[in-house]
Amino acid sequence: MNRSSNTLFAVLALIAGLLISVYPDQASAVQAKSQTSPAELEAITMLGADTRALPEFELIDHHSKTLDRSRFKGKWSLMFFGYTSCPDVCPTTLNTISHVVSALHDPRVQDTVKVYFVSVDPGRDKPELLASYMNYFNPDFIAATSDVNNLDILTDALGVSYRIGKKAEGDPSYTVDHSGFVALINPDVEFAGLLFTDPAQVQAVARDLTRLVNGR
Amino acid sequence: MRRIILLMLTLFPVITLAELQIDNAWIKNLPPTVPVRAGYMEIHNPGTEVISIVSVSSEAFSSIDVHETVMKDGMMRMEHVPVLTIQPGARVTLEPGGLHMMMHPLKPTIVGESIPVKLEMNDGSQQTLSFSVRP
Repeated sequence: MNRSSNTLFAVLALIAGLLISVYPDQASAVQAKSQTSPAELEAITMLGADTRALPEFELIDHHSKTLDRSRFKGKWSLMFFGYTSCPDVCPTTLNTISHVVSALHDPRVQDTVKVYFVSVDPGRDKPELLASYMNYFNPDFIAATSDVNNLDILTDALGVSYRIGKKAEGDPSYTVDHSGFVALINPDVEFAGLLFTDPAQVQAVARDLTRLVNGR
Repeated sequence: MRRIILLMLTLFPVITLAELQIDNAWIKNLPPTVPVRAGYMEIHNPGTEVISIVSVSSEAFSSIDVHETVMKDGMMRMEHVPVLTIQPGARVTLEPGGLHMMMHPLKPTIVGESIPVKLEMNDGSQQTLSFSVRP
């Protein structure tokens, strides 16, 4: 290059450097357009390279409508598994998730985050029971279930385990063992992250969800 | 006579167990369609002897059992705790995600109400506590 274009280049570089130092947010905003890096999240663990697309699945929600992959597009969804006859873990998880959702102040974030409770106890958790259970915590939450074969398509994809402890046919009070983590499904309907609910981390999770929603 | 009285006085602390000190006794409310509730409390044994709770009952519940939420094979499960033992001077806390009472209600629970629950100890002694229903 000749001398004058060298000078021009140097001047432009200097101006760019000054702009970036004075307006650092603009520079980092360019970076934020890509996936939010795991280091910036406080409570949610992202799967990173292990992020994987969910397969086709079909459940029935508590409004008796079909719940399939298509409803997850464009949303950040929190999904966890349990059953309504669960006295301790499920109500505690639902409570904490309720508080997280209440802590989302940005209406755009509120609109983008959806909560799903999948019952792994189709024997007892019929739509009417799921409806009253969800309405008790938050009427915007969606409960869903299906027969074991359909459930397994989704639980296998998310690495969720469950075990129905039925002792005998017609046993009304069996317990169900189930994974306790909350799965995070991204707007591309991929299993993208997970978290364990902790009442002390409500604000942290709300901030993480806000970062994730705003990062796209 | 005096010797007998003296002997009885020295034996007295051994004959009866101290009473458990119980705080923050509460039941988490759930809609009437749900057949279970969880009960929680903080227990302190102020005495010098081990105290064990062997049975829990209430007129408002058909059955009450102590369970512990544990993680096994990657799953949350409830393990039945038939006898809850509190060492002398120790505290045992029943709280969400851990030890809890699994209770089967006979009628809907209402936030704000107080429900009497009876604890039976290994020596036959009993204590009745008031559990408040919280949202």
